[in-house]
Amino acid sequence: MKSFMIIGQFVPGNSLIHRLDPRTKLLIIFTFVIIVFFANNSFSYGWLTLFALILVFLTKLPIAYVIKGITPVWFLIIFTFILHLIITKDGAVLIEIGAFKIYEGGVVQGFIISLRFFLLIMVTSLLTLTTAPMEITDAIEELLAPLKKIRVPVHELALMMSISLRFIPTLLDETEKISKAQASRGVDLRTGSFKDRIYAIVPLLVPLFISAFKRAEELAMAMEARGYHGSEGRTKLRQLQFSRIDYTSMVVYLIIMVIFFSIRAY
Amino acid sequence: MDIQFERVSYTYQMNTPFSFQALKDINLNIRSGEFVAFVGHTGSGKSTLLQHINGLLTPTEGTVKVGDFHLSKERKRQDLKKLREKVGVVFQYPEHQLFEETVKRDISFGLKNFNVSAEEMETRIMEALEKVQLNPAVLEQSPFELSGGQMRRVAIAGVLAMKPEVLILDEPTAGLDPKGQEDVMEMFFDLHKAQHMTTILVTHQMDQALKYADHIFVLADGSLLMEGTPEHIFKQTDLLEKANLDMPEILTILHQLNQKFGIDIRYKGQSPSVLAKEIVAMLREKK
Amino acid sequence: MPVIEFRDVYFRYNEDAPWILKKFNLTIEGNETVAIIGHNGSGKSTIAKLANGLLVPQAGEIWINGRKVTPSNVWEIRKNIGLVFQNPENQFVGTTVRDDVAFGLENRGVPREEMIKRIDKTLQQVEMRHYQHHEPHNLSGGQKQRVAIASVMATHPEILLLDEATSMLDPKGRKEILATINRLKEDLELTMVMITHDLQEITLTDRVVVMNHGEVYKDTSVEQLFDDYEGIESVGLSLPLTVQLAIELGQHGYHFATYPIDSKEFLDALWTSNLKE
Repeated sequence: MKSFMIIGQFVPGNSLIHRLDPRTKLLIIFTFVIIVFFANNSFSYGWLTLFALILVFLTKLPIAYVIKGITPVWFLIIFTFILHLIITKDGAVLIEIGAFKIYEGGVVQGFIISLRFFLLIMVTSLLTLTTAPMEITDAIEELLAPLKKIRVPVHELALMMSISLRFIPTLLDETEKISKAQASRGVDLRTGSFKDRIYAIVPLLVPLFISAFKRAEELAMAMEARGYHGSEGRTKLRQLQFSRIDYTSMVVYLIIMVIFFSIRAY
Repeated sequence: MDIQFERVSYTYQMNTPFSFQALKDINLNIRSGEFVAFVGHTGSGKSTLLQHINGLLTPTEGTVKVGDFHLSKERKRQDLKKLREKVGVVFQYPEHQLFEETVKRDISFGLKNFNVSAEEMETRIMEALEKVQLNPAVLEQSPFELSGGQMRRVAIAGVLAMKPEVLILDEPTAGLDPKGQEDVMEMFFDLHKAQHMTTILVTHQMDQALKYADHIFVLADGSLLMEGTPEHIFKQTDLLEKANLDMPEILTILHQLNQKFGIDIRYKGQSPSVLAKEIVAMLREKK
Repeated sequence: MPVIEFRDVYFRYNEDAPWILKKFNLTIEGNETVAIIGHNGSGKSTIAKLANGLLVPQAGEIWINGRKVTPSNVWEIRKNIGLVFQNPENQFVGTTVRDDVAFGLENRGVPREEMIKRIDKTLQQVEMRHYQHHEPHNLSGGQKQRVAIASVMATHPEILLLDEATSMLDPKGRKEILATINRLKEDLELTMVMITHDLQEITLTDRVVVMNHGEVYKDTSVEQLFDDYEGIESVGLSLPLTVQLAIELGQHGYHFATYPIDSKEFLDALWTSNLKE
């Protein structure tokens, strides 16, 4: 069960990337995601790939772990590649198997799109690998704070997010417990027809929902007992602070992007 | 069914930064028909260990033998369903697994999965209900309308109806009031005696282990710290302290009593009234 | 002036349900430590939720610190009451220990500097300071419950209500909580109400209220509680081992002035009694 949850699961550490303010990371990654789409030639792709690899290196996480972390997405990356092989009909024919032809343009296009996809996933997973979920929530709340003026309930959304994060491990444990209890009563989720397997999920879902509702109710009561009544008049313990490494990182990032755009224009 | 653990180790999330070894080189034997208790502090590996007995977990090293079933990393994919029919597990807070619309349907859920025939099912449900001392009137009710104690009994009935040869009880009395705890434990003990079921109790209440078990296994940090009869185990005060476990209350009282009055009363499962008689006799003799 | 007062309170969850509290009266004075005991379903658990306005009675009045609880002043009243619930998992709001203790303070608008001081101090009181950056799923039940106590104590309440706070814990966790409660009782001026079904816990209190089917069955001191041991058993509570032994020894002429609730009391009383024999 838990092994599926590796995608971007936070690994505590003390690397440069770990120490950056979450807002810095969020801004860099958000802009990177957009900038990836501006890459237009092999040099600009190469430059971005190099940048991404250096980031991975700076996190001091084992490369194998980072790669394994995006395992579930590999399928999508490869699928995208194959899709482009089939549908793009550009340039010279490379291989011909019966009626099925692979064009040069297909290979190039497939490779580029897959690389783009790979870069996006890898860099965003670095955010969650090096940042505690709560820090991401704080960063989002801070960055979205101006929206409060147009009555977007930023505080409430952030609180909802932090509570969800807080309860993810609890609910995963619960899911595991209930599925084990039902497996002991003879439920088999691994074999049988598709229909059988769908039915086998009911004994898992019903108890899970009942317990989640009960938890929610008790939690709401506990929050009320501790005086929670919305964001009004509330103070905050958590405060984010930009430090020198944030400013330095942002300047370095800016320089890298300037270089990227000059390569692109070249 | 005899149960054997041969050099069993289990590691959660192998090959990740989160890997954690929960069982370390466990060797043990449980004879058919015994009442054994596993005691240990929270996180000592008790729950992990018991999940090996019905194949919910497969050892990452070593072999678990339950009757004719051999579970190890090398032997993958066996018919675990057959094993699970014979090894019933009452999990902690078993009422959390209830999901059907009526009590009857919930009790018969396991039976259906194990392909028990319709007539057989009826008799088994009634028997199970009697074992857990519930009124047949609850059969058509929703399990969620019942009190907490009754819900637990329904969940237990669902396990007993499968007529397991081995019954695993993981903290079966957690969250009940003292009276409810006693009732539930007496019920399991009576069943054990009447059906000659191998009963495996996982508990952190030493009083229960002392009162019901023939044999006690003490786990600490994933290893088997010691095993033996209750009498033997509770003499090892140093080891128990090391495992952060209490002495059963009755033994503490008797120990202090013997020291204070210079007498010697041994605990052999006497009731308070028998103990009182012995104490009186000893005190009078002393004078 | 009483700190908590229930006057003829009736409560049930809905119109078809049986009464959980029936004409319930209870008065608790300042700085008292009171245990409310009863079997599961005796109505003891609703008392805490009624006292701080999480539930509203169908009839009767509840007074806290000389003020009647009404929907308009309930938030004010809650500021004086700390409530610790049964399930350690479902009252942990923060993503770390520190955040959880901060939650109640943030709600009250306590300035950040003051907050940090109070968090450090209360975590020290419950011996959880080393764990302040830990996440809840890495803590034991007992540790989570200590954090829950710290969270309410940080808001400086005058009343601490513990609603079966130890019933889901293992023996070690239970011991930790009882030690924590004992320390709070010694260090602070606090009115404390412990709702429990564990007779061991009443040793910490001055007064015991026994509940049965929504009514007060007995309201007495800890020493005198077991004078009516047959009655206590009849309302579904089990007797401590020392009391059972004392009763049996009484049959043989060993007299006990009060029924002992722990082994030390038992042995001392037996010693005195044995001398007289």
